[in-house]
Amino acid sequence: MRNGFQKTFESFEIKPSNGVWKSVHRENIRLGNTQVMSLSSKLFYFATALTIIVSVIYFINHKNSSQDKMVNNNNVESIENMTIVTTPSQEEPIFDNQEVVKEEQPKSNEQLVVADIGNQDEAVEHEKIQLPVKKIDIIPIVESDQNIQQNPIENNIDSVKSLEENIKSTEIIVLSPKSTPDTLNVKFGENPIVCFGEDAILTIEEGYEYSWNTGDYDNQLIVSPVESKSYYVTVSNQKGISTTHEFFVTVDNTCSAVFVPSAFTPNGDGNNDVFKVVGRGITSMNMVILSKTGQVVFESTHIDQTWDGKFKGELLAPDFYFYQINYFDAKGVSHTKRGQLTLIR
Amino acid sequence: MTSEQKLIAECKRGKAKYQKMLYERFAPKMLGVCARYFQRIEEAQDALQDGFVKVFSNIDSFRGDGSLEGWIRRIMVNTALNLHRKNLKHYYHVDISETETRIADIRLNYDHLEVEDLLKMIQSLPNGYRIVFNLYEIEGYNHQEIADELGVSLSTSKSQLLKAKRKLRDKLDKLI
Repeated sequence: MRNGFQKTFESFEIKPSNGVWKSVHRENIRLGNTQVMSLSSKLFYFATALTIIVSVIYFINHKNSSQDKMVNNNNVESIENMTIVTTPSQEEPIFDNQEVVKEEQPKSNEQLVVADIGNQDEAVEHEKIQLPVKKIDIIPIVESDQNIQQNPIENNIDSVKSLEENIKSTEIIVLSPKSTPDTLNVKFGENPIVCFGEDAILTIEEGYEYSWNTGDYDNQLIVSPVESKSYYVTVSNQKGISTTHEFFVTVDNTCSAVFVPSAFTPNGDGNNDVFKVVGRGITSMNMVILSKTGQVVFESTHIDQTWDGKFKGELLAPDFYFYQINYFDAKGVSHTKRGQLTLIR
Repeated sequence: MTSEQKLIAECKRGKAKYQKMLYERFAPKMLGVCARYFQRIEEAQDALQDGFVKVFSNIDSFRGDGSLEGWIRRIMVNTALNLHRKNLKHYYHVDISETETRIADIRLNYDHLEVEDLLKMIQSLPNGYRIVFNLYEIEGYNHQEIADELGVSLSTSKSQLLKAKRKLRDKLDKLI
């Protein structure tokens, strides 16, 4: 059964300040509620990822170059001996998982071996690449393989060059997979300059996952540093390509401001019982409060001095009062601020 | 939006990303709950913080029998009470004569009030009144549960509620 109060507060929300999550997160780490990757396991994952990337690139490059060699060899031979060789490329399935990489290596050896025995007027048939590693051992027997598949390669006689030259040219081709890696599209916002006590918003556009050195995981980080400092973020895309960026937040200690409330209620209920001015970037401040008749009812020489609404020990009547505040900012420039305040009881 | 089941499962595994998601999903509402138990919002945020740490420490024990929100809410209320607890015995120091107070049905007419105004009024109540009022009127505890929870007598709970309502009525009358 719900009463009126329950209904009233049913969907009532207050946004907590940013610091609360930070504290919760810190405490979670301290208490072990949050998984923290140790340095050694981070290194392990990094090394594994690196190994995979390197072997994939190696595989792609190696495959291309050995194929090219093969083609070139065949070209040379076919002029001299009219040898018909089945190239493996038509039958080659595309491999995209790295376990295959290991099995692939013998294949290139195999091709090289075939290239070496190419002088022997032998027609050679390659089988599919998925053959197990032991295929290497079978290669010498290739001479007795009588199943010739008439599948001639293109005899591009014009392109016949010395083997060395061709290998050189394949090196250029080899570079192509490297020059078009999966790119990480990410745009980093500017390095902000903020006044002391202000929030700086660090933003990242695009990217997929974000990891800040503060332990945050958003593409936006709101910080309010007390002094200029750097924040680091590692951004990665779905393919795990990542980059680390440094945001530098400059805290401008020279900006100054004074916030003066417009009213206060010296009734002892604990809310706004005193008139208090808040300032930042201020070196000195004095304040005078006047009644409507021009009488000075309060004077202070420091920003932390508050007015309880009393004059000569007596609480003043609810009314309008006027204030004048003089202050110096960090650069030594004098400022004056005048305004009106209301005493409510 | 991540489903609640996934959120809970990932939080149980200690994934910071999902812990933050869970926090962000419930924190504003829970601060709304905590705010009613304290005079100042800073104290309420302390309760919110302690409460969420408890949520993540004990998420393994959440079996999913009731709603996640209800479970978190219960933790928040208990955390708020815990923060008051060391002072509880001072809050409920009641004169014998006062326990005799007959409990009249005080109806509060707050229809014209915004929830923020009502919150301010509740916050301005003395701690003891405020806690009993919250538990009874908003959390829906009965007097026996309140007495057990706070370690006070049944009549104390009743008289505190009565006085809280009187105080609120006075404040409402002033506003009208």
